[in-house]
Amino acid sequence: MDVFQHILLGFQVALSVQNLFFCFVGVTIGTLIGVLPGIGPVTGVAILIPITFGMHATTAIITMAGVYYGAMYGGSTTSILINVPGESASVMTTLDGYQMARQGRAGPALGMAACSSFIAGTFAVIMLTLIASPLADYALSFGPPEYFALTFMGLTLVTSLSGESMLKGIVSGVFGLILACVGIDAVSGEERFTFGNIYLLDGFGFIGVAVGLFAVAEVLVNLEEPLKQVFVKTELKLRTLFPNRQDWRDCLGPIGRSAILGFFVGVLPGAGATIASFLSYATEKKLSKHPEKFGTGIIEGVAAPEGANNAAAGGAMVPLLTLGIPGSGTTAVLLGALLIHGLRPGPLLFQSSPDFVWGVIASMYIGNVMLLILNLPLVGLFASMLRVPYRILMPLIITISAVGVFATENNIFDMWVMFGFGIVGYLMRKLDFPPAPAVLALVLGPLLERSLRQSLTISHGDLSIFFTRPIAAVLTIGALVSLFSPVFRAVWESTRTPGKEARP
Amino acid sequence: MRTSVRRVAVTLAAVLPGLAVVAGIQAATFPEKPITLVVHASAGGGSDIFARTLAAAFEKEKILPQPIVVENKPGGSGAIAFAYVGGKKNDPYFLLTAVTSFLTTPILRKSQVEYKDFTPIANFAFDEYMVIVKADSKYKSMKDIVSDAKASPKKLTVGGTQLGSSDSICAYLIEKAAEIQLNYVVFNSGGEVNAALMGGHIDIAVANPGEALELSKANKVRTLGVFSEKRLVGAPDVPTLKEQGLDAIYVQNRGLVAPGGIPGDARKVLEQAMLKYTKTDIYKKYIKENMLSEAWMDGPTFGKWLDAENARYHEVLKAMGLLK
Amino acid sequence: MRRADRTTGIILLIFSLILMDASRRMPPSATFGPGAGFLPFWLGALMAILSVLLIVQAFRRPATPVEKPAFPSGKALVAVGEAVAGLALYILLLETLGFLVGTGLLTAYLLGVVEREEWRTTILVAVLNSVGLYFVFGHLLGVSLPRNMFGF
Repeated sequence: MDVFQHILLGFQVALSVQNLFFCFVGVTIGTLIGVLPGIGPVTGVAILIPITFGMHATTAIITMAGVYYGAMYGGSTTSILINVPGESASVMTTLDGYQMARQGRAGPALGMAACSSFIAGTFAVIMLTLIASPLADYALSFGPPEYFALTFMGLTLVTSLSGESMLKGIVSGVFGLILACVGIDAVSGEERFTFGNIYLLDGFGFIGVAVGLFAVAEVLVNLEEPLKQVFVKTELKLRTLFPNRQDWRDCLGPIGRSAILGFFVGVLPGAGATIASFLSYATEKKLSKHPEKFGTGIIEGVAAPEGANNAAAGGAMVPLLTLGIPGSGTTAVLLGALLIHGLRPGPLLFQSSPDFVWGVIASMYIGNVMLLILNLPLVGLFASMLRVPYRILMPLIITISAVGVFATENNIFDMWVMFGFGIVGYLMRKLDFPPAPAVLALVLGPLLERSLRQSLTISHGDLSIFFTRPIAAVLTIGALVSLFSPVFRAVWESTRTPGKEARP
Repeated sequence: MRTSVRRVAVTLAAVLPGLAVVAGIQAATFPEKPITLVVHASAGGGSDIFARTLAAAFEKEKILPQPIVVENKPGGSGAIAFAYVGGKKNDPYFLLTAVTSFLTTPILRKSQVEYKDFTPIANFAFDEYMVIVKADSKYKSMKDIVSDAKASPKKLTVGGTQLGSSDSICAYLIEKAAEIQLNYVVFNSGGEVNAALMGGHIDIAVANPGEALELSKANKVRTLGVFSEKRLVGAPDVPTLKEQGLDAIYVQNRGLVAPGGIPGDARKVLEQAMLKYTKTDIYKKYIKENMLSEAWMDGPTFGKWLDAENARYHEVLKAMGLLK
Repeated sequence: MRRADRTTGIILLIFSLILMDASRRMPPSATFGPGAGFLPFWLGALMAILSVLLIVQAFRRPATPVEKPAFPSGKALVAVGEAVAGLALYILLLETLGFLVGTGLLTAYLLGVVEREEWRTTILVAVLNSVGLYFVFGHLLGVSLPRNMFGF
């Protein structure tokens, strides 16, 4: 059978009334879970496992997969509206999305997030349909040295997330890396900087840190000027509610690139949607003709990370379905769910249960369309929420942040993390240190350290392992170039500033 | 007859919760409110799926008059959940999943609570472990590995999760039995270990039979041996390590414990309910799909087993250099 | 900003020296490759260099005639402090008060005391917010939110 017959078979399965209905249920729950901060797709899918016991295996997985990619659509909502990143994959969306909302352009931001998610998500499903098996081999070719080189390259992009002062951006990034060291060191089992606190054994909870640095800090800054208008009133006219022609012209390139980048990063079992969204944002900023406008509320800054995290969610299905290897937390839960339904994902799944595999893949096309139709009317509803006066909105932002952070791991300690980093974030804002590099480094730090030490264990301490393997070599050299070019330029420029004359 | 009496009592308790407490009706009607099953790992892991399957079966088969509610308290290799449930002394409305980390984490982290602070309820099953290599690896049997490792010590790489985990103990047991030295590489999850093995980045890995056999059927990996006393029923072709002259036996258990000092009759009710659960179709299917070996133990037996295993882990972890 | 940068630089420098010292005490690796203290040590070193650069840069920058202070004073600072104190108290007492009561009180405090909203709106928003969040997170999503001794 060729691809067309396969996918035809898939649509026959997916278009049954029952499967259509549960696909819709899945994407709706996914959207809700994505909108609420703290509760991510992992928890959402896990809660559904017992409910799907009585269902047919295909229907069950169609529902749960719907929750997974549905959550990626919803995740951008609170990031854009109130600067609360709902999932780690939507942290980058806050940078420009929230600024757009303040300028009264929440509608176009939400609309573009949905459209970009749809285009990139559908692209990922097409790739999954056409070339899943060869992609599995590509995923396997990434060993520890390649992951190290990829993460290293990601970290060098920290410089491109800096605001006015590159030095302060780098300080923020190194601060994030230091935070990432807290907890049990996986390689040696040694405890680092935990001060005997069991809640620190796994390090600082990412959501707690991100919500503190972004959302709480933002509220504190706004409290200083009680009369300041935080949000420009959103016009609820159809013409201003959705992205206009100029927005589309700006975004087509970023969406295309983020779909490709997001998908290929998503396929790698050790990377995932968060890294994909970071890389995509930084890439667009590097390629842009006006990089200085990133972070001030431009629509490309929303389209790129949102496209990338959806494409990555599709990409993560590749190693799951073809090799039985979960590439992310959510696909790990899906793996468990498959096992309960008597399906063991692996290289034989495509042959042994084609109706299941192709049914699920076909349902992802349908689910993406449903999500687009579901999300566009919601744009108006969500955008109109910002018409509520800010002094009423403020307590709601604080409390929803707190409960969301609590819900990630059911403990109060994470609330304290949010509280502490809320104050740190406030100080950083006041002192002009950008918080985004710290958050990026906190995500990449553990992966960087682990892959570095894995590589050196394998090579018995020989650094040449990063240069003798082709993929690793290309990425490492790319990272070094990316690292040193702006530093040299900055040093060059700072020697030419009039600073010397001003010295007493 | 007995059940109908209990149901009446339960209904009363439900209608008049205040009265029930005041009247001091306790174990006779246990449980009179939902029981919280705390999972020491995050949603979606092996223990979480075990717990959610159990909770779903209790609900569907009405094994107890009250539901079991699953609550995840992940973090610190279980330390957070152990401290949480350990602090609920005498409260029979809490249960905790207990696998290898239930014993190893308190040993490694010198934590305040240890296994003695809990009441064993039951053990359900054992997870077995298999040694796998890439399908086109030059190693065809454990003998090949041993002779190669003897020729060049610390050269062969074996992948696994963090030190102190079941994977690392398995690797150590091979080293000890064969008197060889391997090069242990730490990965974040079992999935990443398997990916690294199939990609040819490491030489050997340890995997559960379910994943190992599926990958070997697809000709991606080769299974070299299983860490059990006898060959597995589901995999009669895979020799044990013992057959190949390596005295390395290891299982991970799946059990449940409650806080210390709970009333004796409540413990009995829970134990009976668990035994009933093992007879359900849902449980049988769960065991089969995950290729676990059934290993029912009631509370007291499980307690003795934990004593013996704890002593053994102490010895092994000390020999691995993880205890100071 | 010059003075603020200088102070930040000095604090970061002390922090990184402490970090380097703590990392040096960690045991070396038992196998191949760097040990637990390797990365934190070098990150500390990097941070030390960066903080020195920060201090140097602050000195070299021309002093502007009127420096805008980094931090607010007076009323603005009071509002920020009130919000921070309220949030801390909320987290501290959450397990005693229970989610429903605690969240209601925090909302009311932030709205009525910090923002000086009139009391009717304050109470209405506080009740709706805590009940709404309790329903969505505690009921629909099954999160076991903190309860007080009366069970809510």
